[in-house]
Amino acid sequence: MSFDTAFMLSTLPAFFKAVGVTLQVGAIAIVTSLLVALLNATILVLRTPYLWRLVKGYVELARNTPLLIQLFFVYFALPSLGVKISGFAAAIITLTFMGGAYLTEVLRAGVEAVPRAQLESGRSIGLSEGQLLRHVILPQAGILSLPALFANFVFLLKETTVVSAVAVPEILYTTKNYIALYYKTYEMLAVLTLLCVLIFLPLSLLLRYLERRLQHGQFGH
Amino acid sequence: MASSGIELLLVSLPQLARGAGQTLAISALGILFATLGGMLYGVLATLGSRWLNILLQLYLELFRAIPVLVWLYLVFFGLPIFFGLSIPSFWCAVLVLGLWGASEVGEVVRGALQSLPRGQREAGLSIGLGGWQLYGYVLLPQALKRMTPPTINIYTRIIKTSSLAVLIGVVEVIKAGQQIIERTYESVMVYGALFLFFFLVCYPLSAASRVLERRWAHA
Amino acid sequence: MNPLIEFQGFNKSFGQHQVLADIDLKVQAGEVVVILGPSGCGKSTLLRCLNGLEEAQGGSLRLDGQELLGPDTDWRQVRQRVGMVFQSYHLFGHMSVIDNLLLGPLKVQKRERHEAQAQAEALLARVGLLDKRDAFPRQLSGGQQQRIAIVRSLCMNPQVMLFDEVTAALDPEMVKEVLQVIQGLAREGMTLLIVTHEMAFARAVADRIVFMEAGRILEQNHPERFFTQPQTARAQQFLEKFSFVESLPKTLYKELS
Repeated sequence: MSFDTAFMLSTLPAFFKAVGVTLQVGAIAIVTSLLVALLNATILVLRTPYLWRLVKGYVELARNTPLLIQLFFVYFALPSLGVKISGFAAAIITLTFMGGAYLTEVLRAGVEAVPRAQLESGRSIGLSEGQLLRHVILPQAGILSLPALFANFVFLLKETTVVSAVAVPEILYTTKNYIALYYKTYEMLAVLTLLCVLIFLPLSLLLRYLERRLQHGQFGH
Repeated sequence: MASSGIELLLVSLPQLARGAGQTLAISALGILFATLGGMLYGVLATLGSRWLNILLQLYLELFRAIPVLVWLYLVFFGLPIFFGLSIPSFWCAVLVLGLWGASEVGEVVRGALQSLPRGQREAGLSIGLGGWQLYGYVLLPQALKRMTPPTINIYTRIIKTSSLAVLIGVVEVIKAGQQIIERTYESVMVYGALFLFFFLVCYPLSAASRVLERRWAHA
Repeated sequence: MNPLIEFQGFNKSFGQHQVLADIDLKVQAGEVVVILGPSGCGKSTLLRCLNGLEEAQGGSLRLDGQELLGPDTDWRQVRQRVGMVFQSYHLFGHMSVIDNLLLGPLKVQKRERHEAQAQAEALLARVGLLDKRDAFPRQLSGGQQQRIAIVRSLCMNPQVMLFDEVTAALDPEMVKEVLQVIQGLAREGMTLLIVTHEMAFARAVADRIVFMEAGRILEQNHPERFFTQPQTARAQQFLEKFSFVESLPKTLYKELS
């Protein structure tokens, strides 16, 4: 088995850019998903009529359908309705759609995990529902959610590989491209594997460490 | 414009059904292997052997660090090169889903077994039960309720992930859908139908998992 | 007469910490030995070494003349001859009482179902729980579960029974029913090794008291002599902590023994 290391090294700049795209897509998706989830969680906690059911329905729909279908729908189906979207945009929209649903579940579980006794003692010192939410529930729900939130962030980052299907130049797409162009399958797969391990293994270990520090189970994922 | 989109779609239903059959076949086989492999993993992980645990952890981290789609490509492109094996992409998908699923189910089984009181193992040993007997008659039956809701969730994820098989060329439901779109241009309806298909398969499982979790919630 | 159980120069450590040191102990068949001592003195560990739940590091342990400390020991065989009852009973919660009792005889000893069942039911009747035959552990009280745990071990026809603080987790009113069962076994001549904090019970049922501290046997004696004239200072200090029980009115005493 011979390794064309010279070729591998020559592709490094391209892969460097690819990693950048992966991280970029991942980061944007994480932020937008979180924003969506915060909005949804607020609606769920406040039980706003109608909106609350809508959020529940959205979460069920997004969590029970594959990311790939969601992606293809946005990228291939919407243009026939007159909406043309780039691969990058479709990726962000879809990842947000799915990520938002998962994170909503995490935040909801976090809120429900705040012990009842906390609410009771808050009310008994005269806090209003709004103050209760702001000073007692949300901070504690936030901390309880941290491990699961972080786990889902890593999950979103890993799912960016799926958007290679709509030609977003992240690491998997770049690998496929080079294999198709130069037939150096062995070398390209090796680079891809190495990159994955370098990016995701530390994150996984960090997550393990975070879980142990905060000592809580996982929700939502 | 010839016949209405819906009519064209209805005519294409058999083709879609064949694709759906492939998707369900990949998922079912993946689930089968994931369950068997996961049970084995969980039992091995609780035997107390340090070397076994290191090996299992390596396997787990390998599947956690490398995304499933990347694994699909590694197996699909790599198997012919590394081992001279050329297996159809259907079985590549089943293999990857089975191995990945087994790592996930395995962790669930391990957690469930470890959550049992240590005395159960000791009581079983004290009446002379051997290894397989201990797990088969005492530990696994009691861990079953704790294992089931999370495992059903993993099954749902396997079904959803099976959709990635289209990217390595398997003619499953998405591919069938794309072929229909090429003929009928009804992309919204077809992708909508695919949405519905997966939702109808996965939602009952998710709901069942939640119901079971609530019903079997232990102190 | 050769002892049924013999510890010689027996040692066990957990890592750096030596839990049992130079234990020399002989138990004759039919003897009831009660092991007393402060928490952490190693008495439970000693019991657990006898059925292989703990591994020893040195010395010799013989059961009926057979050396147990070797790489070839078939602990499954040993455990059928040495029954153990735990503080938290640990009945198999997913099985009914009768299934709990039959698991060992049928699956390990491969006995005939009707023979094993007849024995199990007879023993259940003896402890007064035949009507609970098809009940599940979660439906039973602690005292009932512990009695059934004892029966579970007895169904294996052991030569020796080990009791590891079997009343420590029970509500006081259930302690008596369990101790009565143990007393019955003692009267029948079964070899018993008991670790307990129930001093009055120890005094009434034991043929010999073994007093341990920090992994060593400090004193062995006939119960009456141990309780009234302890030979070591540590034993004396230990018993003084329990003298509170001694100074209670005699009527309370009568109920226990």
